[in-house]
Amino acid sequence: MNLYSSLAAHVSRRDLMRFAGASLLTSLSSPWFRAMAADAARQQEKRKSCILLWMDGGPSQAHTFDPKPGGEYKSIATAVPGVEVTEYLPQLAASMKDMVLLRGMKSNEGAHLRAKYHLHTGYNQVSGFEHPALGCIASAEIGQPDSDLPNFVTIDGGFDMLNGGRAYLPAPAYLGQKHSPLMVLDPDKGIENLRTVGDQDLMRSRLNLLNNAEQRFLADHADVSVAAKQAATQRAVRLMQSDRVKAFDLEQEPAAVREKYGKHPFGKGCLLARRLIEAGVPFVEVFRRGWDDHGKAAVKVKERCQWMDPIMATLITDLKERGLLDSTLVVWMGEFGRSPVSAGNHYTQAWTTLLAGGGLQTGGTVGKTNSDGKQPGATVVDRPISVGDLFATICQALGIPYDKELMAPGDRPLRLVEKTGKPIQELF
Amino acid sequence: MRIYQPLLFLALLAASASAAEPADPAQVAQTIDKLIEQPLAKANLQSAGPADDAEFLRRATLDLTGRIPTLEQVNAYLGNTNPGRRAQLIEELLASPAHAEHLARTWRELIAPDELPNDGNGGGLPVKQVAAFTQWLTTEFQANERWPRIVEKILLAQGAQPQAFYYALVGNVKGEATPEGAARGIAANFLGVQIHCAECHNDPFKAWKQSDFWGAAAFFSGTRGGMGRLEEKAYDGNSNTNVPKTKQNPPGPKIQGPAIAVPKTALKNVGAIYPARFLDGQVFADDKPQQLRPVFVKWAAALDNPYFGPAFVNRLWNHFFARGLVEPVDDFRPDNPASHPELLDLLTREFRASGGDVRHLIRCIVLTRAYQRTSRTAGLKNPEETLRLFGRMRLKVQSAEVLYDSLKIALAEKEIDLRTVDGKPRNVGAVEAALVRDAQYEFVKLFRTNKYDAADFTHDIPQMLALLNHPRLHTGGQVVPKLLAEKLSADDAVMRLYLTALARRPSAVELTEAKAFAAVCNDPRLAYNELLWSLICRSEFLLIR
Repeated sequence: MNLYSSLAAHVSRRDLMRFAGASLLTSLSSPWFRAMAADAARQQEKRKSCILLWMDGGPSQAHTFDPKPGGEYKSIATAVPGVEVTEYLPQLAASMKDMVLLRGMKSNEGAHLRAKYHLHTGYNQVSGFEHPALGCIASAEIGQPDSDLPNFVTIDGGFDMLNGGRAYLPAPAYLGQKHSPLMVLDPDKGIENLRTVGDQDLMRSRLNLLNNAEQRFLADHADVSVAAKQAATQRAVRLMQSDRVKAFDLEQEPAAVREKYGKHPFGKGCLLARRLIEAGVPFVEVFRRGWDDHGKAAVKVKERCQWMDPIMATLITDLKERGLLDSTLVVWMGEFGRSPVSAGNHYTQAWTTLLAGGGLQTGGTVGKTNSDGKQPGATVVDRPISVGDLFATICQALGIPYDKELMAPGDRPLRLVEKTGKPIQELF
Repeated sequence: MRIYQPLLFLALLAASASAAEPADPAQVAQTIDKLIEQPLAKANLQSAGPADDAEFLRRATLDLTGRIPTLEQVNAYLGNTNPGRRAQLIEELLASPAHAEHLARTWRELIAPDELPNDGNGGGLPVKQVAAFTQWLTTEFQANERWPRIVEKILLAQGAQPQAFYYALVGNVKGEATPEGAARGIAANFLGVQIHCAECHNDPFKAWKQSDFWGAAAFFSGTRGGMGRLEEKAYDGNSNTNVPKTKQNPPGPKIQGPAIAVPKTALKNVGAIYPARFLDGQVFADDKPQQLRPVFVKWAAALDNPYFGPAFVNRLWNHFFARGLVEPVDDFRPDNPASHPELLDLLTREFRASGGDVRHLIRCIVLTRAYQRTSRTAGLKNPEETLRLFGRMRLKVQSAEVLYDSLKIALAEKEIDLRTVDGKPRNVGAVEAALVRDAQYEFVKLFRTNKYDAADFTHDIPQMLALLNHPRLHTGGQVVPKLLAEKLSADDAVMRLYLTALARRPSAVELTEAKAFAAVCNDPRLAYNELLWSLICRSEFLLIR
């Protein structure tokens, strides 16, 4: 058994028989598919989902969710007595009861790309081995294997930087390619290559042409790789024709709601995320780049709060009004924080991430940084939270067993979450 | 660790045959076939029949040159009635520059991690260095440099030599050469053994101990650099030099010869000092000041090294059959025997007798009936067991680079650009601008495959959607305009498309279907565009049968 495919799901002989007779176009009406769709809908009620708002570059905690005396921004009260945020986040302040601020974050990786890896996988990067990203873990653990929609979608996460700065792209590693995210590069455009060239009739007849050839080929070459190729093609065609793919179309949303999320790409991304969660996608990651302020953070964060505050507050409120907030965990984080007070550099010793919804005990904070001394906010003085702890918490909220051990390539037993990580019990 | 012992057969063979001379490849191929057909007969299994000319042509061209045959090559071969045409084709393919490039790319894929080393911050990729490394390998394979020489040149590279980048590729995440990276990489890439678990603790499943792992790593404790310049600081005769003094290892009785201390990153035995040791268990106790890399490489790349030859021939077998004689291909262990031990020994003997002649070994393999069998399963009693015993050819997945080159030929295009946004930078965030890299880079990123298992089809929705719907795959490339300009008849046009994309003529059924489809389309250009599209979307196109 080779290294990587020992965990990847192979198409079984049963599937080989199933596909031998199926046509690309008629599989939708097969009885087995209907039964499965009904079952999936029933299971839907018990499932948790996650929207990860990835603030790429490392947002400044002093200018957002952990204001300190003498800081560059004033602080304001929130809906939770005793908890304050910075002055440019009034709408999120009003939603504080549904949020919990993890102010005790303490990590060990201050270089961007390695830190992005760390905060996506829960592990530090090592050579010779790759760990799966959180969304891929969710796809493998709480995703629906036969869903017509992908189990993990990323929004606006596609590109490297012009100056050479690399984007970390969530990867499934040893969990297998099928848990790779579907990438939506532009929320307005939806899934890449979903729309076909030519009209319905042309599509139908050329798919028939392809399908006839494929059936003959499979009959002559009853081989696992052929079955896998044809299964992948079927999944793509099924997605193209699925009713549920409308979830990717922002134009289907009433204008009033679209206005609330606004025209900013991040707003469109969050709206798309909400639609996908509603449609049953368990994990959506919305990227927003540009937080790496090496100077003038006070100016830049204020600009960003102009759109981030209303958009995030809208998302939380929208989920709440649709009865989705309890089953949807919203995570806001970057790869690290920024230096105390001026936010001029990467900072790992004390920073903040945010959780909302997910059925957690929200409306408070976990962990505290110092408010006295020369550098307020420089150290965690109460309840430090490691990246492992954060991951264990997220997993527990989503119903993923954080201490589950898998056999990774090379006969390596590996836990889903790095072994010192423990869930923050106060939140459950 | 005990030596992996070749079987008695090897000793007998060496005694009976002239061990110094490589045998005629055709003869070796015949012996290989006997060794394959015996177990099949014993299992009462019928092997599959031979591949026909079209199947063989496409498979051999892909396996040997990493792309489908061009229309010219297809016409030349299918029109060749010479009974020796298969052997002739093999020689032509081996001589082509594409062959050397394909071998180089394949090795580079095996050696390079999925995530190339970088500074971990801005993350600029060492694309140039990887390209230079690949180009160097291509030159070596083009000259048919013997495998032991190639490995020596890589492992003893100095300074800014392109092949020195090997140490960056197997080093740490920043691309710095490390003793443990070198030990781990060399063991897996060139010696076919997995010792990585023993870096941190004695391996519970295999017999490797930390003393084995770090004993091998000790030879590379003076190797520094990686991304730009590589240098080796020679062993100075004092075993304690490279061993940092810690609480656990105060300077104690001096070890004879070079030694290394287990670093903090290990789980067990941190600070323990292990002497330099070859992987067969022999300690290197020579305390003369000297460079240590050459000592290890002299042992590792020796023709009669018990791991070196079998590891290489096993990988070569795996390249053609998508399964090694030992599986996984870099996991040779006493409790993981070869499926065909005598066959492995035979190829090892040829490796040694030929001095590690890569082309010679390739000839021995591809001239076999086994390699030239069909991949069809029709009529086989037990297709899976037959497959396991190499009684039929396994279908393989084209790697991303190979698929890219194949599509260029199928569409007669200079570039396959499936990017869905243009190459211009677009604004993301307040200051940064985003970059989409060139067409080939983005294609390879999208269509990456499982490099450990060529039979594992891993493409999913994004890849299939791109193939099904991307507008540029519906344009007919330069193939359709050309056949329209030549005013080919419908029959000839369909023939042209099949020969171009699938390297074969259409069957009667396919011809009828194609013409019926064209009638429905009512527009010849559209019909041919879509017909060509349907051919490149087929399993037959994407896979290597």
